[in-house]
Amino acid sequence: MSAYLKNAWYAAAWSQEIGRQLLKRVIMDESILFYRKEDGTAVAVSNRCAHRFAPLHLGKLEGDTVSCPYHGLRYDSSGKCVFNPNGDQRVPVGARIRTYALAERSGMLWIWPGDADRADTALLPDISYLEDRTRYAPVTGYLNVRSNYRFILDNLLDNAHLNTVHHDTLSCEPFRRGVPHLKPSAGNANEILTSLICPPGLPGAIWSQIWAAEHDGVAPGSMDHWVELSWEPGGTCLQETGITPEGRPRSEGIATLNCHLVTPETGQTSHYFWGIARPFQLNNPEFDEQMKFGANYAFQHQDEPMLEAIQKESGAQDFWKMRPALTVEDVTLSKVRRRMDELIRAENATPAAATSSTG
Amino acid sequence: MAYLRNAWYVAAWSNEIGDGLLSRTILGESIVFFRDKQNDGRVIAARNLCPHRFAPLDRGKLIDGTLECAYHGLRFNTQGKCVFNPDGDGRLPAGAKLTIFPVVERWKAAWIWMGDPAKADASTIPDYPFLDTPEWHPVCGLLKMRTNYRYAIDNLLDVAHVRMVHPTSGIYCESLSKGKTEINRDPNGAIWVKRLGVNGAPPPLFAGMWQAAGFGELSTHMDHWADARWDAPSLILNHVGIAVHGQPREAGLELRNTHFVTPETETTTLYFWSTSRTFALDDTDLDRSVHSGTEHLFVDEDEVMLNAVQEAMGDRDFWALKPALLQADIGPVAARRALDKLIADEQREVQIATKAAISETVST
Repeated sequence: MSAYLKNAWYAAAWSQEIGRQLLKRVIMDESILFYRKEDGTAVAVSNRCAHRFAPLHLGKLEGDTVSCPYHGLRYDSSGKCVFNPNGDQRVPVGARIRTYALAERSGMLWIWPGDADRADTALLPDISYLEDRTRYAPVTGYLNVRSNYRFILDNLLDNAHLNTVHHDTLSCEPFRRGVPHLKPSAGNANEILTSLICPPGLPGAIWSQIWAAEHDGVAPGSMDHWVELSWEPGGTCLQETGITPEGRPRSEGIATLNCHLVTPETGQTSHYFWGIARPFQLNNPEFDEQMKFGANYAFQHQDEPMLEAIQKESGAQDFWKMRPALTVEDVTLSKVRRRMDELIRAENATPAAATSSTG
Repeated sequence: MAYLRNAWYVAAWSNEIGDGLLSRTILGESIVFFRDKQNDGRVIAARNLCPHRFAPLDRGKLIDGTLECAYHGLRFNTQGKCVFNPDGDGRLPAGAKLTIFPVVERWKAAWIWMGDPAKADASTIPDYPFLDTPEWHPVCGLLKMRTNYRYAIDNLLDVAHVRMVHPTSGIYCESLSKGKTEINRDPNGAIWVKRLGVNGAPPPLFAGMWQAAGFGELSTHMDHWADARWDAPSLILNHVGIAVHGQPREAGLELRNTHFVTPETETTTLYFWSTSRTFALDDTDLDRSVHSGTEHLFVDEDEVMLNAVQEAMGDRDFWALKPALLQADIGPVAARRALDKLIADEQREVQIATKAAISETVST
């Protein structure tokens, strides 16, 4: 049984990572080759030559074809072998490599690792705010995390760790007392939504700095905090989080839109793409740098070491079989875990999905 | 994936085993080699693990023809028997028996048998007389490759990779690459994989040798052959040569190369190579350039690709991935299938023997 939900959109690369060079990226234990055709269309094919299994990313991109570094077989963007330089030059029967369904939107290249016929662009997560430069200033990043993707999702869906792991940046009394409330899903029947309802209080270090920067250096007083979260299958977690003076409408406060896109690399490692869009301090590159620095500090130096340690401690053991003691803050992540388990079970029970996953 | 155990593998070139202890991992097992000075210096191969508390014996030393463990000083003779215990009452512990593997020295190499010692028959080692005769001059080397030994065999029996992997190292030949690979089998199971390039420019590497052999300027109308013989489990012999187009091979120049491939672990391989010539026998400059040229081909070109294949494949099964095959693959495929069959037969034999042993134990 596959441990991955394959029929879903996953972040494969930021658009600017893909060009007229060969990029190898492992997704769900499969080595995948990415490049752009001469017309700019992105291509994803298996990185393993169908002949003697050499990795194609060490080869060459020639026009819209990739030549294998081992024996020079050349594949077009449909995965078909179109040229064999050796001997009688006959193209071997069965020389075909797998292709993957892709969609490029909002500066992200999305991959559908499962059955290409089921890839529906209507299901693409909406991160269009990253492109809307008239209203938002975005910062984005990528991290390779030495942890299973589900521990990362757990972490993103959990407010309780903010007060310990991020003790010097996000920690504050409102988050410590906040309680997540599940909400009915809006569109996609498989999505899970939750609101973190917090009592008013002083914000943490980062929000205090941002507030002061926006209000001529005046520190915030007692504020209302909010975190609106949505999870979509398989690794998409979208957030709106902000503060406003106690009792005032959210429109009088400040908030950011955050996306966290988690893509399994292997059972023990993950690709983590993040983006933060702010509707204030537009066209302020210095502020961009500070946001980036802060986000990297939190993800790389605070979350990642903890997630790696959890991965090492639990190895390949099943989360539920380890009998987790769950707290009220874990309602979202346990709901997401159970929904994901159901979807993976259903996918593995479908013969078509099972076949395409062996591709 | 299981190894073929009832087979001869090269463990070392003879000149690597001198007065001291040499340890080497073969088929995943650490083995220590030394010479038995009291018995014409014949090579002894013992498990590199003291049966007492499992210290590696290569940290010990040879004393009066016995191998002394560096941990508690137990000494073992060349039959593996514990003959001395310096501690306490000096009694020899029961069960202190060191495993000794059959070894034969032939063709300037030490060959080890990792299977059932009763089946070790030195006459089944194939012939490589040119490695040990005054008419031929060999240049030998040992390299370690970060790949499973079977990818190394595939690569050695496959001429189609030369165009891509060795384009500028002097061994690519256009006429050979247009040729067709043919195979035939010897009665003992050896497989010949042959290819001929007719009436073309030979590989540039041959130009210097053609002169050194006294033939003068090289013409562009040459026949070039590259024949390989695979013997189980992982031994390859090459006859590689050139002759003026239409003339018999004997009127040209031929090299004899061997590639003795020994699995070290599942993902690493010991690669004993040699190339032998009948001309310029005393030319040490030529020796040096053969040595460095060969190492360049194997280390900077083949090894890089084979390591990449190993990493791309992980522990996936070759056939389960349904490889697409080229004409030139008939050689590697025939050798793979032959070795698969030998391994499967051996595994079946082991199972039958185990079952018999169990039923005997149960009935007595």
